[in-house]
Amino acid sequence: MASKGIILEAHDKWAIILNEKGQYKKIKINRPVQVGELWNSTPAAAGWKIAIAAAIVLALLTGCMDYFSVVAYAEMSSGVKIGVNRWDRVVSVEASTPEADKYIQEVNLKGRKIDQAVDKVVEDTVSAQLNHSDKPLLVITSTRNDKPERERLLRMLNKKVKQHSKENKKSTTTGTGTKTEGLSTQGNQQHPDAVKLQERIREHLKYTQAKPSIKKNLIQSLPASENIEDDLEILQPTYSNSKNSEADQKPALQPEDSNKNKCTTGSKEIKNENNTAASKSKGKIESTKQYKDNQKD
Amino acid sequence: MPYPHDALENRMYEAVRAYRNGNKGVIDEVFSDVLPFCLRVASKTCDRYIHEEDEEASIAGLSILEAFEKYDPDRGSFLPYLGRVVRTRIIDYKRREKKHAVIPFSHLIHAKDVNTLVDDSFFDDIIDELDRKNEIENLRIILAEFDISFAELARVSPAQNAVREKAKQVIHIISSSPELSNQVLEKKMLPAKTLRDTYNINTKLLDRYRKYIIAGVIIMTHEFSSLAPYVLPSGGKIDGQ
Repeated sequence: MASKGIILEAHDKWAIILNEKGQYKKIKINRPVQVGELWNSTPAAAGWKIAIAAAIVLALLTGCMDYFSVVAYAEMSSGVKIGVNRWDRVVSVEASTPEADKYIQEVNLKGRKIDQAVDKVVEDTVSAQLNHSDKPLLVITSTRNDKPERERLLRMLNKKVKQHSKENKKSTTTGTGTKTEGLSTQGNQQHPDAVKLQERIREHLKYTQAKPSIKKNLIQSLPASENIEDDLEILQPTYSNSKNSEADQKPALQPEDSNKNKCTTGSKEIKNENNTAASKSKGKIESTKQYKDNQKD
Repeated sequence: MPYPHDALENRMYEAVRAYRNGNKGVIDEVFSDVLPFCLRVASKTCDRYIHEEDEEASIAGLSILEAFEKYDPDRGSFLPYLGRVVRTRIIDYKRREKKHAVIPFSHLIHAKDVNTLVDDSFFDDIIDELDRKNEIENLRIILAEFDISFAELARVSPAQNAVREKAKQVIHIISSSPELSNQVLEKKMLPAKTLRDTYNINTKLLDRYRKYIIAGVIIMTHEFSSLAPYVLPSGGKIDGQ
């Protein structure tokens, strides 16, 4: 709004005016003025306000664009493809099958957190497919080459999916690294050596005198067993009262040469030894290979 | 003391008559009265402030003599005619300057201003400005007697509209009563007790904005017509208007 008034006192860079509201004000001036002259506020002052307003609008627009910008897709085997932004909010939903298209029209997934959306979709559509489809249950694709982001989403969604697939012994989530290439189907199949290692670990856990809590943690860290009863048997308490029992301290697996073999003292060390940022199966494969090499020696 | 518009116009008319009758020395008598008007015209034409030592100020002074020589009362008022003469001479001077070599850009006026003809309202605005300037100068002198300056008024002026309206109401009450306004002008103090008891005015308002109220009373009582509308309460009018 323009400020009007009469110049009462004029100096080089400032003046005193009596404005139309009856207020005496000291103002900055960018041109020479004379006493008695009528004063209107200059466009330069309004320019600052316009610049600030434009900056605020630009910031809001940028924020809106960022909110609707998809950074990763989560595609489920039921044909539903969910696009999420950097805040893990669903901003786009697509369908690759007629059934999925019908489903997404009935259920509003936009705006939800990705774990809630995936949970909902899996609960509604995929449960029936668990035992039938050989395709991965969930595939994460990122629009940028952002592996840590994909792995973070995988870990988060893995828990949700596993809740619906307790009876399914296959690993059901995976991730890919490119924007345009297709889906990976390797993630739901384990390396044969990894499977064997897991079986040996289970067999070992059956007879070890370790604390039940330790056994439970180990069992939970392994993929779901084909025979759930074996897992339950392992979890039966076999812990002895003596804390200093020799059996507790004696490691079950002891290779002949401890210097050559790093995986020597049981599954706990295997787990610790392979505690890297890479997937657990990969770490176990490496330890398995090393164990086999040592066995040959 | 500078003359108000009408008084100046009448004075100049009389001076031209005297000049035509042979009294050449009358120009010296009116020169200082009419020079501010000529300088303001030159300033508006050049779009910058003109100092008395500038070349344009000399041209404006010479234009007064030319106007006295060539003015015809049948063509209208003297001051607008004088303004046109000053403006024409300034424009001619600028055009001659352009033909020379190095001229600072700040001294050049815009082509639009050079070629645009102006009507009498251009000079009327300048005359109004001079009238306002006269009033403001008188106000400043009177406020100095009350130990009040414009800078101080800018500091103590009420910022909120509601408070300012209340202060304007007090100004109106005091200036409407000869007794109260005389008390303010003579004793240089506000009649706080009377205002509190009779008009139920908050003494805190009177204490905090005393100088603002006194300045408003001075403007109203001395009939500074250019400034009075700014200190009246919203929707109020001064007597006779």
